[in-house]
Amino acid sequence: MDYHFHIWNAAKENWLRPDLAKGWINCFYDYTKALSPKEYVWDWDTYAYYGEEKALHDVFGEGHVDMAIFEPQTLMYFYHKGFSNVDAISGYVKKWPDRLVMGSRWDPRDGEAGKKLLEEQVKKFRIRPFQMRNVKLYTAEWKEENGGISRGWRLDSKEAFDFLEKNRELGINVQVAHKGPTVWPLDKDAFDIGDVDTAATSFPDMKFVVTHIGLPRLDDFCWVATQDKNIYAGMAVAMAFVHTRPRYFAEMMANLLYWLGPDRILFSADYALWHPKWVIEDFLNFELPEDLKKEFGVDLTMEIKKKILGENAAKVWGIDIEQQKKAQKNDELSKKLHLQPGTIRVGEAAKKGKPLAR
Amino acid sequence: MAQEAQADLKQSVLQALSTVTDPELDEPITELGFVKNLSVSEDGRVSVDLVTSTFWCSPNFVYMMLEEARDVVSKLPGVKEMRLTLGGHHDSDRINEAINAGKSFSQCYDFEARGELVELNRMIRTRALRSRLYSMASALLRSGLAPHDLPELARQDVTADGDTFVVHSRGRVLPITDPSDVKRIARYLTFLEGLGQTKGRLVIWDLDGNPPSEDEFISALTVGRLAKANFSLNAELCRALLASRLDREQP
Repeated sequence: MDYHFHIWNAAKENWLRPDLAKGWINCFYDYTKALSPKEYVWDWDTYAYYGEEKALHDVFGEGHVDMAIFEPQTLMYFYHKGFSNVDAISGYVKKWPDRLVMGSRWDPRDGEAGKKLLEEQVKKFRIRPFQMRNVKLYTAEWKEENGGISRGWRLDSKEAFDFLEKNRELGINVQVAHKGPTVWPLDKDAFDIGDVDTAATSFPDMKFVVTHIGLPRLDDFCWVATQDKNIYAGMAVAMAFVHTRPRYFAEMMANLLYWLGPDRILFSADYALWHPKWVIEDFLNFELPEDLKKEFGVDLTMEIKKKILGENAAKVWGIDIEQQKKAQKNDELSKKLHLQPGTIRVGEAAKKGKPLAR
Repeated sequence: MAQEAQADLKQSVLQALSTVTDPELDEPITELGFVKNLSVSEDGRVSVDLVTSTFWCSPNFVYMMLEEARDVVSKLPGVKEMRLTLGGHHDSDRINEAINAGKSFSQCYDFEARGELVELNRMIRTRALRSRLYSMASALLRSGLAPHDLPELARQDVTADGDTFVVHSRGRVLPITDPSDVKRIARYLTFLEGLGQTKGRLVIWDLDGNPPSEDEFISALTVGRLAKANFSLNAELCRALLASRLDREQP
């Protein structure tokens, strides 16, 4: 189960402010190139806009993912129609509600109109109990305001708390917080997650997933998550270290397991930043080095990997895994993509043969 | 200026820049590859082109880094004028204009900032100190010291001996020769020197030179360990991102 996947459109026709729009997608492209195996790096045009069909094929067809949770990132200041918004997947969610999970977003600066939109989305998309339970909260979103520009917001403002109240009322109980480089005021640390801490303490019935485990403030994240048990480690971006930077990945995992334990870590390949096929296969084959096991007193067993790859997210979203397996068996998507239940080879078996697709 | 003097000045500028760290990564900007171009004119005008690993690096930390670069180079003897040019950043024009006019951060970002970067600087440097402390402690423990020996050490108990260090603890003399461990200790001692903490206890926990409380030393080390993991992850990611960026054809 992948808690954080995108379908974006950064093709040139969609650039509203070309410098910023280009700067955004180029930065994403660099992330992909920096950490992917070479054979998984696409050409720039495909990367800027790959389309829904390719996404479904990559994630579900090749990528070992059974359920993917959509996290929009609108960036209306950069792109005419937004970078990644719910329109991209709304049709698909209705078609395959047992595979794709709809999530939305909110921004305290949107006021009443933003709350009304959430109400409508819940009515339209709560077609399974786990649909429309999450929102992506990108605090560095730029927005035109009173003729000027506002380059970010905080989760502990009164306006944000109003939205959290609204979410509670609508049963949108998973807040996926994502920090970026700008936030008001600019002399403070934009990556500080003190505001997530405040919100998580004030809304103990809700769950807060801090995406890319608070990087570049993994230390802040771990301290806060140690205190607030409703804060989860979202592994988007962080997972990708597993292939080319295994030692760094190992130190990160050892710290997460030491500070948070195994029950609050959620897998994501962050498609299309990285392809879930190699991320999942590498993660399954990854083992913590002995020196770190000894120093930290933790291990990353197959049981724990299973939790990270799906069981933990299933609990957060209220998804019954056995029931979903039944619902997915021979569903339309399985037929369309010729999906066969199977296993992913790990350990010695993986070295001997090519891992099975499913 | 004679050609030789010009070359010497260029060397001192590079040396000065190598003391400037990216505050979020705690590594020198010269090693990170952020210095793209450096030129020194005959009459002592210095021009430095810089690039960060992404278009989106936080303006506040970028500003901190550029201010430091501007200041260390400007005060070198023989430098008449210093010009910094940051390229490929979402706020390049604004930052370049302000840095070269000698403006402070809050002057650069008048209504977007509420103050200067003093507090932010202390926050990130405290973490750098703790990260370096953990790395030094791990080197000392490998040399045969026990955890409870560490808080006892005075700064003078660690002495340089050529390319190695020697530690004096409870009547024992322990050599540290592994090059990685030597580097870990040197990095911590350099930080102490920067703080002016050249006497007193070796192990300090904040920028004012206070030690961690003794019963909390071990848990302090686990905090330092986390800070170290964070810095090294970020630095590694930024190196990889910069390599990707410089290698990319602009679409």
